[in-house]
Amino acid sequence: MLVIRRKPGEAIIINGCIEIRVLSSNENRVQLGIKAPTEVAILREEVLLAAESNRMAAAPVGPDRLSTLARELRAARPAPGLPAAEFPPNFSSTSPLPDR
Amino acid sequence: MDSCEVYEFPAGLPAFETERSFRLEAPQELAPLRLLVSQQSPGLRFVCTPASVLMPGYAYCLDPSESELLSESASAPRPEELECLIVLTFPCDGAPTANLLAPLVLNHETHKGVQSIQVASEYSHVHPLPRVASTGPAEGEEQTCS
Repeated sequence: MLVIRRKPGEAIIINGCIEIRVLSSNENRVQLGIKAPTEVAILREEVLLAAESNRMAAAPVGPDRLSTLARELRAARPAPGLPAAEFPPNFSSTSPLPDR
Repeated sequence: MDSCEVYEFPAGLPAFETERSFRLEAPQELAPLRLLVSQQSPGLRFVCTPASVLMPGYAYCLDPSESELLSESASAPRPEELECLIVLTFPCDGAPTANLLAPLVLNHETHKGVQSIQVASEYSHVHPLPRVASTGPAEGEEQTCS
């Protein structure tokens, strides 16, 4: 991956026609301004990931696989008060709303 | 008894933006799984389960435009009106995964739904299902931030 350091106000140009300028930055977030031809699609990565995930999720699933998972989920009910799953910690409910 | 309700997704779903109406089926034999079936394309179906089944502390944020889509009035939907479902993927060559990055949020009062992409989170769109999971769709365990 090409790594370039830029300060607020500075920009990079891609292919002579796409300008990406750093507008501001702080400890957690960088605000970018993008100028590009209208035919260039610009999407947040998360949107693409969600679309890709939905396409995969829409693939047919056999009834046996569904029944097996349902059975496993029912069987794995933890005792009251115990955590149900070992997921990594994530942002809290007080996280700032995303800037969309 | 099996239940079935119809939800309108005003913005569709990512990659399926033209699909706006879905039937949410809850076959008893598949509990705690639910099936979200397109009304327009009956072959299009998503398997999902309440977030509380996979992760009691799961938290998601709705942005103002999503709140507006879920609500029929100017006021934001009340948390007790909402349910959060996680879409599951069943790869041909691997174990099922959960899309924690983009939960489905349904409003039981307005029968509207959105798929809310959690851009400020670290949730994965291909999170492995935990070995230990709860079935108990304990109501109200998932959280929203206002």
